[in-house]
Amino acid sequence: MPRGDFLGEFEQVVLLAVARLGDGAYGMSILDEIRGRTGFEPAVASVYAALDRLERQGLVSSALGRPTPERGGRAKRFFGLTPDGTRALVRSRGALDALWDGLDLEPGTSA
Amino acid sequence: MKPPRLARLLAALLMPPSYRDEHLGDLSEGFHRLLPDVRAARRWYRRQALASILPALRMRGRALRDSDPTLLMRSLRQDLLYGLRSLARSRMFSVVAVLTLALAIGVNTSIFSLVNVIVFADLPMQEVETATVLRTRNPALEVEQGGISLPDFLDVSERARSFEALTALADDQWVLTGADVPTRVGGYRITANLMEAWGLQPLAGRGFAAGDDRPGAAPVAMLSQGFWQSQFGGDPAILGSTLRLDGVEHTIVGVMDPRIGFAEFALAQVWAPLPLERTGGRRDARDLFVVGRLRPGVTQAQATEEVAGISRALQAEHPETNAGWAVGSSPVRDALLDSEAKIVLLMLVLTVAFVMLIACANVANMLLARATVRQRELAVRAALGAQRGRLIRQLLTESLVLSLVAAALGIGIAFGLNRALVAISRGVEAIFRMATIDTRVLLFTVGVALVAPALFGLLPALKASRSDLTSGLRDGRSGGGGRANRRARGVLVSAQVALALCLMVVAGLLARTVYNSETRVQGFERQGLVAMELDLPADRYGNGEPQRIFYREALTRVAAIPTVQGAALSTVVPGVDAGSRRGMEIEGRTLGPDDPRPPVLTVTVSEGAFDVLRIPLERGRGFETRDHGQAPPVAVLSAEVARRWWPEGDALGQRIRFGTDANSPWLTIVGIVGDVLGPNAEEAVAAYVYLPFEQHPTATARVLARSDEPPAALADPLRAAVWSVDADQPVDRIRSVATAQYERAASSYALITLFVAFALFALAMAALGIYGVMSYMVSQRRAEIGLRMALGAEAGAVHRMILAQGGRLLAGGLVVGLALALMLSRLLRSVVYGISATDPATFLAVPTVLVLVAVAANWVPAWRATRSDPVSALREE
Repeated sequence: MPRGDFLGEFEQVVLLAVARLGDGAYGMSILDEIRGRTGFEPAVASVYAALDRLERQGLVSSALGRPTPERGGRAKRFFGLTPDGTRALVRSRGALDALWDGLDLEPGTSA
Repeated sequence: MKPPRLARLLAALLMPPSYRDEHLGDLSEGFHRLLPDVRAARRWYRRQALASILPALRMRGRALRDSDPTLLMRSLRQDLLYGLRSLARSRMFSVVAVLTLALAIGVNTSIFSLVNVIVFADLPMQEVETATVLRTRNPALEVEQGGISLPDFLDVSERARSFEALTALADDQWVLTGADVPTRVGGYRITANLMEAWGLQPLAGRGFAAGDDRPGAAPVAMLSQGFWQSQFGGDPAILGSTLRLDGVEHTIVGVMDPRIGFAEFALAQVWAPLPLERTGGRRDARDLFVVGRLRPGVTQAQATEEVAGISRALQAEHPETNAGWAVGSSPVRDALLDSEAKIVLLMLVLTVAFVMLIACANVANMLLARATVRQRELAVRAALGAQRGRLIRQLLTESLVLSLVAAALGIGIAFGLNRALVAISRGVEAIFRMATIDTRVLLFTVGVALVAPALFGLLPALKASRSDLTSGLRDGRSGGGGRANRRARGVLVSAQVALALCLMVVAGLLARTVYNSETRVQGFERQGLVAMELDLPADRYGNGEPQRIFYREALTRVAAIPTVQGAALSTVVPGVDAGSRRGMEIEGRTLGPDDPRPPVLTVTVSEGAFDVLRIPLERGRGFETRDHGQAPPVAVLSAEVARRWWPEGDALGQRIRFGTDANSPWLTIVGIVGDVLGPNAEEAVAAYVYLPFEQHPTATARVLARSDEPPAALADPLRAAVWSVDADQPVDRIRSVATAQYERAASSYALITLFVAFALFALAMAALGIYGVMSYMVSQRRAEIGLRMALGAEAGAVHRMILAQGGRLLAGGLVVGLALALMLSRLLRSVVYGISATDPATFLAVPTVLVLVAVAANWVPAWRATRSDPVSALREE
């Protein structure tokens, strides 16, 4: 597997959030999902920056939804995984699993 | 509750357009979720906005890298073509907008070319940073940029340590003989070190050598490049041969570096050494232009301080000539203009900037009006998927096209204007002559043309592109942006009125100053008076008797011309020449140590001059034959001098004298004549003391001839009369006194023409602006007005309603404009004469004219509103 095909950690986080949300993945819901699961709240703009790159790589696709009043009349942009995106996620997980196999690290110990 | 504005703006600006709306939407959603807790919501919003900086920049960078570079060019081309098409469609709009901008860009270019001459002047001194100009100031005599006398120059040269070299030059003229006809050549005498200190190289031959300016050195001369070409065809063989100047053979040693050709220096034909003679040089003859070259490591400030010290010492050592005269050193560029000229230049720059703003406001206004008309077109494009940024870019491209076309025209206008300024000023003003459209000026114009669209096109583009899709499609005429548009246009019109008022006040004050100066009482009869200038060369006439004989004879011959009714001699043409500024000593009156002598101007006139000029004799007598060279010295006072220094009216018979030594003769006052006007606009009458020519013969004088013939018809007989006395005597300008007076003030006429033209342009623009906005308003409210009329409203009431609305725009502009004009008038205080800078008449008349024009511009649409058929207006709805 050539170098560079691995997803970055943040990209994986965002992609996984999009995957978990299914049809309902847009800026704020992705942010909520990440915060809910990891306790870490990134900037919405960072999420978009990651999605922008992923979309350029063909790993996600997006479409505009309807504007809503609590958003100041602005539309949501919904994101979804493409088949390539799903493949990339699975492959990253496979690589990580393979590397984790047999390791047993606790924070504070050194390997 | 709304999100914090600044943070919202930051986020909106940073995000690439493709994610801007959804990002703002997400932030807004997050904000509203936290809402009951306003502080938490705001804190969250702010943190998000700040955190968006880096990712947003990263996304923009990525977009830039991935973008197709030809795409931008393609869309620019598309925009340009579309813009040209749409401008061609509304030809009337395009023509008016382009002309408006072209005029404004034209005058800005022209004025910048003047500024260019001063600020970026290609000065004759190389490495100008280490060069300084030494000038004298005498606040009591209102001299700001005076020359330096030869003895003072020599003293400063000896004592000052700040300078590597001190150079001096003085203008001079010679009679050139040995060629076909005697001609006068002009030029400068310069110190031998001047060329080296200024960093100049002779074009051919050599410059002056160290000894050339010592008294008694062999006479040498250099030619200017122009004179070398015109007189000798640029022949290098001329070097080493001689030129007979004032009867003395001067060896031609070289050709002057053409880089010295700055301002008046460009007119020089001959350059000769300045003899540095200590004896005989008068300390009160301040005619040297002195330039110093600073020693390495010496600052301008240090030089200024040292020269000031030497100046104080000289004032103490020679109080009789130097009291009140301070020598100062300043960087060359500072010395180019006196403070008055600086103010005039600053006013010009401010004025054309105002003209530019007014023009931009007008075009912006027209664009806003057009935006309403084009709302449907823009809405269709937006509906078809054009992004707002794309629409803005499209509209700005159209503005840019307008601006560039206008700039091309403007360069032509500037060129014409510069030529007109030279013509109006009769070529007298060096700055006008030197102003050219060079690369720097062109760059300035292009810069203005590129910036202007941001001024006049941005607001209309932003407003037009924001139009609400659905309403824009539904109704092309009274769409969503209407109200905001109206307010924006109202503000623009008020701003125009304010700026126009300022310009009109400035033009009004300056015009009144010139008018006051024009309508000063002449005090003599100008009509039918022709002046001829003569200057007798020293080699053949020397001082005294030969001059008397020549002028006596010449006057007789001139008076003998059949069409001449009378002829006289005067060193001064009233209203043109100043006369010699001198301090008068009054017999029997002692002055305090710090009191300057009464300053007066002396004029030497021949017997009968008061009759020829028709200056009335008030008391005593004029000069007569008995006041000859050996007779007791006499003087005649102008009424102004008599009034000022002998308020009791006892001047007749009193004695006065000039000069510094105790042997100067006393002059008895034998008569008092009426006042004539002074040479400068600020003086109503000149403080003249007249001296008889026979007792004070001079080389330079004007022959004044009274005749009913036009000057052109008199020129040949006058020359013939002079040449019949001395065939080698060159005759200088022959012109009517009226022409001479015009030429004296020609620069101010050129300037005033500019200011008045700017003011009229501003007035026209303001009127056009009001007319445009009110017509538009009326067209928007046609249905309402029609309804009112149908319900029986009187036309008068409708007129009043519309006029009141226009009046509000006008009133706002007037208030702001008057405040601005009052501020500007403080600047003008020193260039406005005869009236106060806050002249109530100007400050009343200008707003009145503005109001009249504005009301007229407003009345047309009001009148039209009530003329339209109410039924058809209602039906349209």
